[in-house]
Amino acid sequence: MKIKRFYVVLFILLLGILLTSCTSATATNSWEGITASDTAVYFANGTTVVAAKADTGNVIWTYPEKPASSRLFYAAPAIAGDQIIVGDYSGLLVSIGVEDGKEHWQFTGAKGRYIDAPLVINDMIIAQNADANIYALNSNGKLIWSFKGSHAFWATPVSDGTTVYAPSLDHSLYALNLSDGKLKWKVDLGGPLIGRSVLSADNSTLFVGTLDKTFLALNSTDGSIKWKSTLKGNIWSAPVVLEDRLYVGDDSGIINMLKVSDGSVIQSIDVQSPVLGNGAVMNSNIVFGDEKGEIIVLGKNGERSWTRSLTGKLYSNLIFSNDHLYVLTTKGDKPLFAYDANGNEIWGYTVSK
Amino acid sequence: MWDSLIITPFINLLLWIYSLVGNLAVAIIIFTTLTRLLLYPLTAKQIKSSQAMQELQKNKKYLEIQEKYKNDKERLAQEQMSLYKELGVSPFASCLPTLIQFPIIIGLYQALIQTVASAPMDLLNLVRHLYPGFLKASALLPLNTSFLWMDMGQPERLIIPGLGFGIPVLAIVVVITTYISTKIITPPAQAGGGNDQSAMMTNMMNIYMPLLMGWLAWTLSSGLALYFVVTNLIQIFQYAITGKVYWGNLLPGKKAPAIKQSGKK
Repeated sequence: MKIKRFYVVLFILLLGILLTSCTSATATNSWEGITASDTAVYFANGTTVVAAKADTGNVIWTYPEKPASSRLFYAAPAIAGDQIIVGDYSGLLVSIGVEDGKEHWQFTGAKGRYIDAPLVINDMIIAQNADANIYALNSNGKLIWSFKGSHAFWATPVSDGTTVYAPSLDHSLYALNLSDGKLKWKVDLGGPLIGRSVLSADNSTLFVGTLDKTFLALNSTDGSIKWKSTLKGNIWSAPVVLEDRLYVGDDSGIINMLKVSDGSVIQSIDVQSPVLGNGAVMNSNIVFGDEKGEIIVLGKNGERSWTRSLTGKLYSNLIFSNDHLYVLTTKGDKPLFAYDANGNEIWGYTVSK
Repeated sequence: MWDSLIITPFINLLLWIYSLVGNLAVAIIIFTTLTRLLLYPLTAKQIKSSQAMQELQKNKKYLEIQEKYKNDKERLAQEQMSLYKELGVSPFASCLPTLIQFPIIIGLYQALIQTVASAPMDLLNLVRHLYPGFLKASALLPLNTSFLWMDMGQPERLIIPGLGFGIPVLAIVVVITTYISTKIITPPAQAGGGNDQSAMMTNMMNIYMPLLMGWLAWTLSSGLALYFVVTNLIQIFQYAITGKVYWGNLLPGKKAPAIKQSGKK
């Protein structure tokens, strides 16, 4: 009788595991974010946030001390003076000491996931959340204002110091007063805005791509469309701006080179694999990562400078800082690599997940 | 193969329904109802076969064989098989429809999970599942996942001001409906807690299965919990119109025979 009871319990447990395993993808499926200072690199790594030395990749600290499956970190951390600000999938935003990884404060006001890094500007932390809110906090984690949109805010906003520009999944780009969060304008761009937007050097123009295969330039004062360009694929990330050119990756495997002035396509560089993460300017070159795990470095005119193939997929934003190119892989042998500007591997780092 | 044959069509069907109704919860209810209706012939066959097996266990000859060969398992199996043949009953007839349904139900479940995309990778996968020219991602997304107080992409809790914690209403409904759907199909002889092993196992399943489903509904997104509730309700309805249901099992302490017999044997 006891053996029969055991088998019934075992069957139910196995069924639970089967059903739960079907859904585990929901809880953990995303790509991690990264940020860097001159001396260290900070990256989300599932149940932890890791700080590693920029020159060696050695771990400085990990947070939290006791990782838990209920707290998943995928959003890129942000550096705010002596604090690292990072949000998790349980809706918790925390401040961690840059030096020691100790928690300073928590902001518990959000109900949704933090998908990307918060914006740090003028001693304020602008944290966008999947609960459709943008929260503005002071450096002690106290709420200054919040703004409610109509759907999730995933991508990190940008700011010129007076206005916050926040892309939303509800197809709109929102412009808010930095000081009080009041809506200045919003514009419907025809498709979900997944990637970050970028401000031009003179802050007059915003560049943003949509999941409707459209890339747009907007007047930052009123949101009016300066020009728009239809691309072959959906745009999941921010463009790279270099002088008079924009470089936009899309999910059809094209890196589109556009004119800043009118959005006309100068060149379509076919890398034959979706380009989903932000690229970066690397000295006078542009670098992107693609889904098949290739780092692609292009000259300003689109000529290939060098490429490197990694195991895993390159979805995360690339960071070039202090002559180091940091590349996070998804499902790769090593989660993080540092290269020099010539493509020489400086270090590769394995973190137990 | 699995993706292209099962999950992708289900996702496209679900989102096509969503494009008509504009709400994911309503789309889930319609989608689940439609798929369960399509599976109804298999379900009906399974119910009838299992009822035939239950009837067999009351058969005089069957009981005699059990008693006569209770110490000779091999002979018992042989005699049982002969009886099955004689009466035209197949012990596997109730398993086959279940086996056929199982991948479809798992596919349905996976399609729902992938549709409620609440992270970049999930969204990427969802966009890739859409048939080009049939559904346009930019027009569909983001999905309206709100329904009453729930967000279909998040575990459900009803927040009552001043209570300090959220009440998992949907999880409770899942436990209740799962309990009802399993309890009403159990013959009173088994439900009544007889001493034999099969009765014990049935009773354990009747207790643990609702708890397991409730736990899943409590921890997973409310879209899935809603799917469980709708599935249970349809199952109860299907049992009610197809075969015997023992509503008396739901009454505490009641060990009565079938209250309703609507099956056509």
